[in-house]
Amino acid sequence: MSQPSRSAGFADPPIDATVRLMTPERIVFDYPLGGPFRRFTAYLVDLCLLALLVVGALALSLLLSLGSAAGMGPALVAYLLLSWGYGAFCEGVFNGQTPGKRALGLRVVSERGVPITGAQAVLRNLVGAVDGLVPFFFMLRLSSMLLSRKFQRLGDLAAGTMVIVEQRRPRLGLVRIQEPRVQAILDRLPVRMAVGSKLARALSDYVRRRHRFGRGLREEMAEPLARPLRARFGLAPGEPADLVLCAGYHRVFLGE
Amino acid sequence: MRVAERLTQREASWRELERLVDQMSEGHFHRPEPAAVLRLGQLYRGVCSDLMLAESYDLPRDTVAYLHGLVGRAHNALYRAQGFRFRDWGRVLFDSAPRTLRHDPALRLAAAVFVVSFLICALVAAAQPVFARQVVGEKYLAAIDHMYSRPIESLRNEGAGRDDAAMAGFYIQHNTSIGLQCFAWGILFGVGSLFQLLSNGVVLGTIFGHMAVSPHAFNFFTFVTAHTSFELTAIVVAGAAGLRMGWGLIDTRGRSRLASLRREATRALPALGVSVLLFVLAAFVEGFLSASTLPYWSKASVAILSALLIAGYLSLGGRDGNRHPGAA
Repeated sequence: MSQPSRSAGFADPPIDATVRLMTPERIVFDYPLGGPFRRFTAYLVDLCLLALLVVGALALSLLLSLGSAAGMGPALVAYLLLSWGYGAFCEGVFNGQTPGKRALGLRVVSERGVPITGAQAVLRNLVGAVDGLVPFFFMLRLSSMLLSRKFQRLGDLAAGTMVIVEQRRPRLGLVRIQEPRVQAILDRLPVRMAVGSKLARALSDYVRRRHRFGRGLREEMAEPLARPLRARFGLAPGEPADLVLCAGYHRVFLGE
Repeated sequence: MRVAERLTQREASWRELERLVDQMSEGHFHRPEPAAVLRLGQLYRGVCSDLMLAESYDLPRDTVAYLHGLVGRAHNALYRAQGFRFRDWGRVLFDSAPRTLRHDPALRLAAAVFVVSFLICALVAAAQPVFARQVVGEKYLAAIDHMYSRPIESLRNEGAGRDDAAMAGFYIQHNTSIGLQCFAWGILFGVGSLFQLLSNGVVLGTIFGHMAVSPHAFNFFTFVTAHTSFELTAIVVAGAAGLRMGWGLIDTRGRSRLASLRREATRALPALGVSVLLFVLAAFVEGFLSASTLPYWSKASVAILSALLIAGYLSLGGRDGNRHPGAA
């Protein structure tokens, strides 16, 4: 509890485009940031939806005014409200998500990670008009995103917000190894094996990915870790390094 | 305890949390049940401590990544955006906005830029017919001349395709867009807003000057008088809001440039709200009154009344709040 940033899983901040947040519970966790491409796709989705809404408002207004010219008035007001207020309204009411952002798993949060306020939603969308209306000014939006550390466009900078990716990761369990030769090595390992968290993580990383490599490559990668293990637990030097690591993983993570 | 045992032990509560978060983010419109919220809080705290202890538990990297995602989603389900509270807006518009606007140098600068460019161009355009043609362009000027070549009465008698509601909608849409852009361009160190103010002042001033000396001056003034006060003030206030935001980038007053921008942008929002309100008022006056066949004195009195209203709002608005700081 004394050092939350160190106990949050990764010891060092990853070099990736992620942002580290601290919750009110003093828990630190990582969010991936929404990059320009994903956000542009979300923007296109919103744009299509907006066009549909505008056409819908026009149709409704004309229908209600029985096709007279008076119907254009409410339609134009609706157009104003939609074109300037769509993003602000959606983000303010739906917890930082427009339908397009929702479809792509994006969410607007303030830079500290807390939800955005209504004023922030309004501000980021109003100022966003500068970098979005004219085609040429997409360059302004893009360069602002690339120059700022958190992929913020001008509206984000003014409102103090950022766009994060909310991921739904598959829940991956532990790997089961059913090889008779691993079982043979297991019998010679102690029941309790204290390896330390660094080695434990290395073991799990290796076992998770080993199926992608051929036999020769596995041996080559596993050897530096397997050598001290062999020496420590009195295994034969001829024991394949791959199997030694598998057995070690089995002991540390699965027990039995 | 082995990792496998720990995982099987915690797995169920992670799944439950995931299900609850999904439910919460599905139902935007109906409130979640209190029991579900309580349970969500419990499970969230549990998964938080799992994540915190991930290292000492030797959890595999994938599981840690999964936990990061789960904590993130649960955090966003629990701490939600406040949305908009319209009562607050009313208080801001009629209490704090006039108070800040009264002392805002940005408003004075915006007003000075707009009024000076407007007056100069109006005078020059009245004196030199060539000037108007060069500034706003031959074609546009001809269109304006044509528009006001006949009095409103004759237009209305013919029923020449003019509909009040439609035009009010058009004015609201068109003018408010101009105002909002006037604000948004302020992000470029205020230069954008300044330019917008200047160009609006120049074009409007030139047209005023040109029309004042043209033979259709009376038609022109019958149309524009009523909504002038609202509309021109709205432009100035929107430009002032943009200037304030841009000035935040220049004079940071000890903060980082971004933090200063953020502060000034937030402080400029109430002024922008005032400007939108004025634009909407102007559009209604323009759509329903300016185009009507009412006599000129009634339109002029509306203009004077609205000017008094604005002056009263700016000079007296929010004074009451000063005297009772506790009554908010």
